[in-house]
Order: sequence, then C-alpha cells, then structure tokens
Amino acid sequence: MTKKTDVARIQTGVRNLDELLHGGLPKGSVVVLAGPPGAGKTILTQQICFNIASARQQVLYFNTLSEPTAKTLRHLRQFSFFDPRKLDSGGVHFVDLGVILRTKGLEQASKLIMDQVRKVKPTVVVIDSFRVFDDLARSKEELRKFGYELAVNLMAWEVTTFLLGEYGPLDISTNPLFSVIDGLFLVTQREQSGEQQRFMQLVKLRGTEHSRDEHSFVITSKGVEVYAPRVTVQREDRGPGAARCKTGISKFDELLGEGIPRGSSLLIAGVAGTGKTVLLLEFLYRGAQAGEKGIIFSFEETKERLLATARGLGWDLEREIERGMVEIVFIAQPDIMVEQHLLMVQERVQAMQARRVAIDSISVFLHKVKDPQIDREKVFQLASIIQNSQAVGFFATDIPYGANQLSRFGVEETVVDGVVLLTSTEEGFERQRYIEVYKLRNTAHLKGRHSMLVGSGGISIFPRYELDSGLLGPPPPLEAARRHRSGVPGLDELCGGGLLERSVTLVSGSAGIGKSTLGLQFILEGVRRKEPGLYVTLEEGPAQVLNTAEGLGLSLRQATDRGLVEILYLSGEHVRASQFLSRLDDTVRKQKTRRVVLDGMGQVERGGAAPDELRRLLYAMVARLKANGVTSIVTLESDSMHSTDIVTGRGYSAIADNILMLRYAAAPGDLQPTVSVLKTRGSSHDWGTHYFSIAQGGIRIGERVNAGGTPEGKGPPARRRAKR
Amino acid sequence: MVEAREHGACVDAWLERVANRLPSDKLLLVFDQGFAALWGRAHQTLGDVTLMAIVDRVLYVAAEQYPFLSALKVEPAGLRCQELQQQAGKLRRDELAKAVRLVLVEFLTVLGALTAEILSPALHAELLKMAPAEAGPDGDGPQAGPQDPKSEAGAGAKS
Repeated sequence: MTKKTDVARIQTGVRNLDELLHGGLPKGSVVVLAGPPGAGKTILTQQICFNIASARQQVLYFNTLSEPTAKTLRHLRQFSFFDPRKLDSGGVHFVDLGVILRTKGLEQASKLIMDQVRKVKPTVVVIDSFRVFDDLARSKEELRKFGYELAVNLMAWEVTTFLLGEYGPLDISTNPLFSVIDGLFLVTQREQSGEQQRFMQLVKLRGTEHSRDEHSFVITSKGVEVYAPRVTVQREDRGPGAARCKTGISKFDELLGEGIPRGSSLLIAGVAGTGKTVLLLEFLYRGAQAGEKGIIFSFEETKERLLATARGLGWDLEREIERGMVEIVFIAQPDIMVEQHLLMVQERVQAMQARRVAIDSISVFLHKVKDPQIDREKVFQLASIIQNSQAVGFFATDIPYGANQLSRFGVEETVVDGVVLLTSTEEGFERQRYIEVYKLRNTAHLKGRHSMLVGSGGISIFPRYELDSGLLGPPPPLEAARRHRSGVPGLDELCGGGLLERSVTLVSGSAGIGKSTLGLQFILEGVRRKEPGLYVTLEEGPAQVLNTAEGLGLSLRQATDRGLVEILYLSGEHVRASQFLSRLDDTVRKQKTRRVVLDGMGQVERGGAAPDELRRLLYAMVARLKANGVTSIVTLESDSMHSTDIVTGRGYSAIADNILMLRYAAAPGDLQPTVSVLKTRGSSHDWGTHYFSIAQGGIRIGERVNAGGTPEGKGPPARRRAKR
Repeated sequence: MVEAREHGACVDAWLERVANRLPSDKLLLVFDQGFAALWGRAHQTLGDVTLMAIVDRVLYVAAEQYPFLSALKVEPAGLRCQELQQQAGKLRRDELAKAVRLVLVEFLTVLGALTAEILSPALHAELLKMAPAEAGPDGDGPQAGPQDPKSEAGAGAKS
C-alpha cells in the first residue's frame, strides 16, 4: 500500500490566505499572480516575502522593467510588514533585471536569474513583472521555451516562485506560460454592494485542495488582509445542547419558556421606535449582572449615545464596561465593510469569550448588499459565529413601515433560530408597544402579542396568561367546605353562609351605590382573620380610598400600616388590559395575598380593551387568582340603575362564581339601594332582593323587598333557590 | 516509501561492493557508470531538461564542498567526467570517494524530494544491480554482488 506523504507547505502569513490554501502554498510551486495594474499583486507578494524571509529562508525578488527597485523599496516602507533588517543577508534580496533585459534579452536574463538562485539558494523567488518577458520574446515558441526552462530550473532548486503579471482572462487560455505553472491567483477590483472592493480568486493550485471562491481583501498599512468568511466562518456541528439562557429581562423569560438554547441567534424585528435597541442593551446589561459577558456591535448609535440611553433607563452600563463585562463596538455606517467586519465580530466575540452578542442592526450592517442570497449567507455566518461560541445572539432588524414581513430583507428569519417581533399600535391617543415571540426553535414559548413598556428600569413585559397557552391548567375547584365571611352584616346569609374559598364574586352596581364599601369590608374582614388583602383601585387614588374608609369608620389605614392590606392604584388611563393581569399576579405572589378586591374593572374596558378582550382577561385573571388560592371580589360599574343587562349582556356571568347586583329600588318618595344575589356557584342563596344601608361601619343588609316594593312582612314570603 | 536517509545507505552499500579499494581513476570510472545508470533510469520519466536542471544544482552544491567537482559537466546525454578523469591521478583517493558519494547521495536526495520519493526505489535498484565491468581492483571484472534486499523486488514491493 502506498504511503501518502503530506505536501510541504510555505505559510504566507497573510491573514486568512493560508486558510484558503488549506495550510499554505505547496513548496516548490510556480504561481502566477495575475491582475490589472493596481490590483494589489506586488504588495501581496512583498508581504509574503517579508513574512517568510529569515536568515534560513532567503527570498530573491527580481524587478524587471515594470518598476525600478528604488521605487519599490520606497513604497514598501509604509507597510508594517516591511522590516529593513530583512533586506539582503536578513533574507530578502532585491535584484534588478532591467538592464540585462534591455541589453541582452531573455537568455541572459534567465542565466542571471539562475546564477542568483545558485548563489542565494532561496526558498522563494519572485519575478515582478513576468509580463515583460512576453513583450521581449520574439515568438511564442521562444516564450514557451523560456518559461518552461525557467520553471524547470527553479523546480530543481525546490524554489517556490511567484510570477507577477498584468494578465487577463484571455491570456490564461492563450499564453504558453500558463501551461507550465502550478498555481494561478487572480486579483481584481470592482464595484460591489456600492463600494470598490478588491477580490482574490485561486483559480488553480496543483497538489492541494483550496477554495475556488472569490474572496474580498483590503490593503491597509498592515498590508493585505483577506476576508474569507465562507472558509473561516464554518459552522461547527455541536449537536443540540441542554444549556439555556435566561435573559433576566422583566417577564421576557416567561415568554421564552425554559429559555433560549445556547448557540441560538434571535432576530429582534420591528419598525423604528419599537424598542429594539433598548431590548438589546438590556439583554447585555442583565447578562453582565448575572456574570455573562456581552458585546454589542452598533452600526447606528455611537457608544456615547448608547451609554446615555442606558443612563436614562437607570442602568450603570459604564460600570459593567469598566468591569470588562460589556463591550460596545461602534462602526459608522459609511465605514461598514461586510466581510471585514464579519471577521471582526468573530474575533471580538472569541477574544472576549462573550456569552451574549447583539448586532444593532443587521439591516444596517447589510444595507449595501442587494442580493438576498448574500444577505442570507452573511446572516448565516453571523449565526454560525454565535453557535460556535455557544453564545446567544440578538440581531436587530428594521422592518419597513407597512410591510408584511418579519425582517428587512425577507430572508433573515429563515436562517436564525428565533424571531422576536416588536410592534406598536395606536390605541386611543397613545401608541402601545407589544412583544411577540414569533419563533424559537426547540422551545415551548408563550405565543401571541404581549404588552410591553419601556420606562425607568428598562423593559416591562406583561405576559397574557391565557388558559389555552398550554402553560396553565384549568382553575382548581372551589373549596365547598370552607367559606369566607364577607364582612357585610347580613350578606353571608344571602349567599348560603359566606363566600366559598377561591370563589370570585362579581359585584355589579351603578355609581355611588356602595360597591367599593362592600369591597373594603370584605378586605377588612380578612384582616380580622389575618388574611393578607389586596385592594386594587382603578378609579380612586389610595388616599381617597383611605379617606372614604375613615369616613365610614373602617380601619383600613391601620390595616395598611400593619402591612396586612396593600392598596394598589392602577391608573385606568394608562394600565392596559394586556398589562393588568401581569401586574396583579406579581403583587399577589409577592404579598401572599388571600383576599383581593378589584374595584372598577370597567376602567380597563374604558382604557381601550374590547369587550371580548376584557372577558378573556377576566377569565385568565380568575384562573390565576384561584390558582393562587385567592378569594376575590370584582366590582363592575353599571350604567343602568335598575336593569341587570350590564352583568349578563357582556357575558361576564359565566366567569364569576357569585354575582351580586346592587340596584336602586323605588320606594315611596325615595330611591333605596338594594342587593340581589343572582348566582352562587356550588351553594344555595337567597333569591330575594334586600334593602341595604350605608352608615358608620359600612353596609348593613336590611329587610327583604316585597313585591310591592315595601319591606318584608308586608309582601310575599321570601323564596330560596338551592343549587349544588 | 523510501526515507531520505536511505539514499546514503544505498550509495554506501553500492560503493562498498563495487568500489572498495579501487584507485582514484577506477573509482571515478565506477562512479561514471553508476551515475549513468541512475541517469538512464530517471531520464525515462523526467526527460533531459529536468534532469540537467537537477544535476546542475547537485553539482553546484557539491562543488562548493569539493571544488574539483566543477570539472564535471552536465549535458543532455548525461554527466561528462572526462575532464575530471584527467585530474584523477592528482586527487586524494579518500577525498574523491567522499565527493562521488556526495554527488550520488545529493542526486538521489534532490530527485527524491522533487518527486516525493516515487522514483527512489527504482533508482536504488538500478544502482545496486550495477556491477561495472573491468573495474575490479586487479583488473578483473567485478562480479555482480549479492543483491541488496532493497533492490528490485524488495524495492518494488515497497513502492
């Protein structure tokens, strides 16, 4: 069996070029660097020469009739790879062939070249430019013979040779030189994606595999830098990992289920002003606080502006930068070079060992690219960088206004692992923000739009906990053996002995009839039994609630001072239905609340929620409260003073376990408040309507109203309805 | 696959067998015949232009160490030794022996490096079966020596 030997290679030392060559140039190759004047042939070759040259590896650089050696040396000094100590005995020997060529022709030039080779025994020989031999040869045959013999002689000395020339595509098929060479590099420059770019293509190279793609490169004071992300940014097959990332952003993690799989990239999509940059910044900031390093590449906002944004939200991002937990890299839009900065992203992420990476935005980063295929490829390469680093990437993308798409270019979402949509809609006189996890691979996440606020402290998300979300089960059944006293004298008797534990009681009544008072009594009854209470008011402020209670001789202030009751004021003007439940749920869990009063639920409806949305909200709320073991009263204002349509017409009756209707009844020369129990789930209740009075101590249930509108005893006897 | 260090061993074995105790002029004659055998085998594959280039390099490097080797010339037909042959009587035998060894080893080494040692087994075999006539120490034609284990079948089996 034949043993294969590795090809000895010469490493060029040019950034990423050796990767294209699968390790370097095969030693002894004769390589033509072809391209128009100014394409970068000479600088590339000189850079390789100075990288290779040493006392043990000599380089012979022959200048022909194209550029005087003195000029070559002068130009070389501007590059950082140029080291004057490497001239002559240090490794690089410049030899001018111009005189010989002018006076003695090809044969003598060839002799001079080989004399120098014998003398110096170089590792590398360069002839710049070789094209001059084309011009000096008297015939194609002479040129072929010269080229062949030179190639053979150089081969015999195991020299790696670069022949530079202003060759075009036609030469490749007609010039005899190209039949004797081992390798062909084409360097060109042209406009692409709105900018002049240099490109390199390795058309042929014997004895090794190599990339055949065209790769862009730049010439800077460092010399040539090749950008070859197709080769250098390869996605590693790491398989599915168990590790997940929790963002640390308020409630965002609840939307994201068990978390974002490590190595994932998420598109953060939205039109301008929907909060993409803030989300990216907070992702990094919360990560830094949790000990995860993060880096943001900003193509829109400068570092100073991003820091100002963070300060405005109350974050000390500067401290995280000082601690080395966050890096901000700003690249101005006109300076963007896609391939160069793609590799820069890779290097910075790896160098920092970042676990969180934000790109703001890829729509700006790729704005010059007009080909969707290239857009897709570049996003894939960015995502590969994230996956290889096992980081999590947030890529912002600007969606055009009014467009029905998930990204700027319409292809990004197919490459990434997740899409988070940020939207805003006009509601009343305001715009409301929403967030939606549109897609997240391998993760059960909350679907649909969820309300989002951006304010002091950062982003607040209000998840809609819907029963059909799959994350909640049905509400637990009522505890038939345990009843809570309402705190309203006489009311428990109408309700079968009290309100069942975990039940929800809807109290419907017109303005001023006593719904809030009933609620206060219910809360204070809990205080007497050491059951923490929460009084949520959507109409009156806490001070007003306390004053009202004091006016009625209800000891609410003492209860709040003792921490047994919390009054939570949610402005009906600003609290959206979509945010309401989330806030309520937070407080109930935090306070371990056992009794809740929601006073003025209709405010949510007036705040812009559609009746159907309110119904769904109430249904979800009931489920949450029951799941938390809370017994609750919800008051709902009725426009009607006499009828029941406000309760039944909106379909709320199915949500509540108990329904109390407070209405005015006409009495001779007067209107008297009355209460009727329309429904008690799992219990019997009094079917009659009763007068009630409000005085010091609150509501007190009075006599039953008879058919003639007079107190009981003068009318028909009360009937009771029993229900199991 | 032949290792680079085996070229020296092959040349030593061959010189030991066919040129041991030969005077300078006959040593040079044996070298001429041995090199011609190598040239003949390599020429089939590489052609004269390439071979001349390689030998040119070999001789240049060898002459740096043994300047008298600059009297050797390379031509399309092979190596021309007449000029050196005329100087043979004046050369120290041990110096000449080292010089011809260097040329042979260097030739095999360079050629091996350039061809990834593909031709080396065949070249070793060609050299080892070479038993020059009328080059024996007493004017007897040297007999073909015992076949080296690396030659022919052995070498072929290794390729």
